[in-house]
Amino acid sequence: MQEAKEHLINGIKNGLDVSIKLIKTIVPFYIAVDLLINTQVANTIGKFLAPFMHLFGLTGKMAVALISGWLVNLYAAIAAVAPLHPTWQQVTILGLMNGIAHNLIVEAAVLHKTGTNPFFTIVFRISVSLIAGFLLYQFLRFVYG
Amino acid sequence: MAEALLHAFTGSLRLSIKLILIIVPLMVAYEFVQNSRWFAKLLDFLHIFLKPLGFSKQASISMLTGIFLGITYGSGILIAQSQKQQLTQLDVLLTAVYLSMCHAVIEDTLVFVVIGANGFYMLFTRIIIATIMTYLFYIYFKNKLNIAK
Repeated sequence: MQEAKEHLINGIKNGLDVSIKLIKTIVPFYIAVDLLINTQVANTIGKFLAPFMHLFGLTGKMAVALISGWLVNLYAAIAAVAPLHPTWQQVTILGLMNGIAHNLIVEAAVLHKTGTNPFFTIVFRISVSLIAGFLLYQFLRFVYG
Repeated sequence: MAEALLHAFTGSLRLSIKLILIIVPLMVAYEFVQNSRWFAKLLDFLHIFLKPLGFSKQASISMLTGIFLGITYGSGILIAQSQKQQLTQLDVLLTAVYLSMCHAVIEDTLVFVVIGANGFYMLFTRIIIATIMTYLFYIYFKNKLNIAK
């Protein structure tokens, strides 16, 4: 019983720790994207990247989320995509792509210390995420139309 | 402008609360599982799936921690284990390949589920892709690195 209480307290503490870390990233990103999303700049970027993003069933503006996820982390990607009112398919595809490749710069730096070529890990993970996103999109389109 | 700012602020606040409501119970659950009697059984169970990919039994703990909690915790244990010479060179390579694509899966999946994703498809696709990639690395490297420590 004493032990259970300890696990409960540890769990809550870790959970709040993680949550606070996330919220620190999410809030500024969310606000920035929500404010920028209807500006001319966002429209231009969105239009420019739209054909590429359509390969994954995503809109041009969602490129901001994908790239934020690659460079920063998943919470930046979530914060950037949430104001765009994505469909569940789009969130799933983006979640998969960013799940495979995220926080690339920091993680490549960490892996470099264990002797892996950072250029290789970045290119490898981005390539896999693009292939995975494309395949999942084809699958979801086939099943759900 | 003030209205847009308020809209952005309340939206981000709502998302933050959702995240807390999901993450805290999750971490509590993990804490209980990690300290339970099933933990060793869970490692044995995991090894059934990892063995055909070329992992040795010692890699199970690194993989379990990495897959569920994240690469930072996983690599910490990984480094500690490889220094104890319990892991083969092949284990280290395969763990790095697998975990680079597939780590912290519960947390990563749930945060996207909060904003509407289908967690099953996300998780399933990620596991399949990481497994195939790891297997390809295993086939290519098994005779090159093998048991060397």
